[in-house]
Amino acid sequence: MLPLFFGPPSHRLFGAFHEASPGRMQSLGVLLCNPFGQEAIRTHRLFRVLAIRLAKAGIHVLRFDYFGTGDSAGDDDQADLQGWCADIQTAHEELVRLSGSTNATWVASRLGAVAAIQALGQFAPSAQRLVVWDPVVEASAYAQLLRKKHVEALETSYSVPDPAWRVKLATDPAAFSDEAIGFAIPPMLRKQLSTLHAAQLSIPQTVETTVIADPDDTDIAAWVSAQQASGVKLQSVALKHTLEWTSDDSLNAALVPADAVQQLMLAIDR
Amino acid sequence: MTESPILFGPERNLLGILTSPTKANAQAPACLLLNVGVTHRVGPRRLNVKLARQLADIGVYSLRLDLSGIGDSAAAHSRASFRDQSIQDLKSAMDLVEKEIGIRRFAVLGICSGASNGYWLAQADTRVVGLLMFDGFTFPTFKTQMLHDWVRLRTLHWKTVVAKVRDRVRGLLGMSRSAPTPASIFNANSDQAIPSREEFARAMESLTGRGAAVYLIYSGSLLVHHNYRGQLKDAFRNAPFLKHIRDDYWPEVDHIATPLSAQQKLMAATSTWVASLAAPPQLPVPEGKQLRRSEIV
Repeated sequence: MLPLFFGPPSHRLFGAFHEASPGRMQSLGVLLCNPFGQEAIRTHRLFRVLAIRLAKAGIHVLRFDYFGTGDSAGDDDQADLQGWCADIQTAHEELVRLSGSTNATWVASRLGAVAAIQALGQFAPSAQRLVVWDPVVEASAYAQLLRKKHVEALETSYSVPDPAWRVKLATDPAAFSDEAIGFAIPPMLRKQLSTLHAAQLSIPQTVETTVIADPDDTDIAAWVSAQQASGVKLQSVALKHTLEWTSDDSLNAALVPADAVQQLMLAIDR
Repeated sequence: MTESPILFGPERNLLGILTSPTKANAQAPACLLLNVGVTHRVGPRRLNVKLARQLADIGVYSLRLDLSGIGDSAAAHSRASFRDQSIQDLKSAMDLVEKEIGIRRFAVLGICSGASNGYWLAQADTRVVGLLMFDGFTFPTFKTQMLHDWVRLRTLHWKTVVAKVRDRVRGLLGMSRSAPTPASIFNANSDQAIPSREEFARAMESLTGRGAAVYLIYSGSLLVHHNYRGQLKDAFRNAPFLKHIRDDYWPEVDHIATPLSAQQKLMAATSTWVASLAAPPQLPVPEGKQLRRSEIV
């Protein structure tokens, strides 16, 4: 694994490049795109395990942190979906430079999937294939989920929770909307989440896509149907897994559901 | 400020990010920022990253790193116990900073399991001149138990109170065996080798005796274990080390600083404490010294 910073000096991004095992080289590069906030912390181990396995299978992999997240430059309060789209493109270019391969697959989960889909429509050249896992397709519902989970995290974390938190959550729509489980949600990101809808998430028809999601998630199912109806080459894979994305649970456990890693491997290495 | 990823250690399996200030305070120690549980080096809530940059603003170098087998550091090939391996990894981290920057004084900043690792390291290596333990080892007193029971009684429904009193009475009469307390992330002493009260006191005497600064902070998440200001004084009555350490109890801050306001409080107190450790340097420290090209990966 090669840890590195890349991108312009004012916008340094941290990356971890896993070079493909020699002898099994498939001239394919995979870019792993993180979810947001606490979800990214929880995904770190899983993405590392996935990257190591892909590299052993002959695939180059670049993991990276968006600006204002992880080890990258920038503060939490600079979180910005549009900026993350540009970061994905910068990381894609770095992956091409490091791997020498222009054949790239982007793998993105949750809010990272939103950024990846938007980036596909904005930049070229980009990925030939896209794998999205439990994408956030209704951003306003996601914003509400973050509020609820933040209060749950507070209630779990403090020995003496304040009953007023729950009352505030129920009665004040603005309460707990500017931070979620330890991470800032700055005004720009709040605005982006409040105005983004599934209809705006259009995958270019040239990009082969696999969507891995809970079959009971009706929002994702409806979005998948709409994408397929519009001519997108999209395959849907049902996966129920044990990883609770937006939570503090199991802080001392490495969260790497084997079935999720397996499905991601299959979707990438088709 | 610059940040450089570095692979280091005898097996080059350890990954750290060295944060170098633009203008170094030559009298300040360098800081090691440790893993919390299995969270990778950025720390819970990205605290280690934020703290590293805040420390750089006051001229302090820091290295945030993943211990062997955690985050992006591969497991070591040795058969050492987790504690011994952690000490070895952290010594390697200090060796690296000493070799590259020339600093021989270190402050170790640890939360929860990181606090435990810092505690063991400080005893094993005299280069550690400062130890900050946030929600480290706890030593409950009779008053701790009383306060815990009182707080719980206030917040429970009367039926639950009755059931608990009944269970307690049955337990006292030997009619039932109380269930073991489940391991909790908020049990500061869980899954770590816990020093006895006497061992902890001896360690504190030893550290403060050699002039190391110790700062113990307890959060509002440890109701069962630490729940009032002055608990350490009660737990270690008349122990000489008490005059030489600093301790705080912050009920408004939780175990992993979830609210942004809690993060601000923790980072501000940490920065101020680290700045207070500045001392005449034993070796000249070149300001803003950059790593050798070969070490920047």
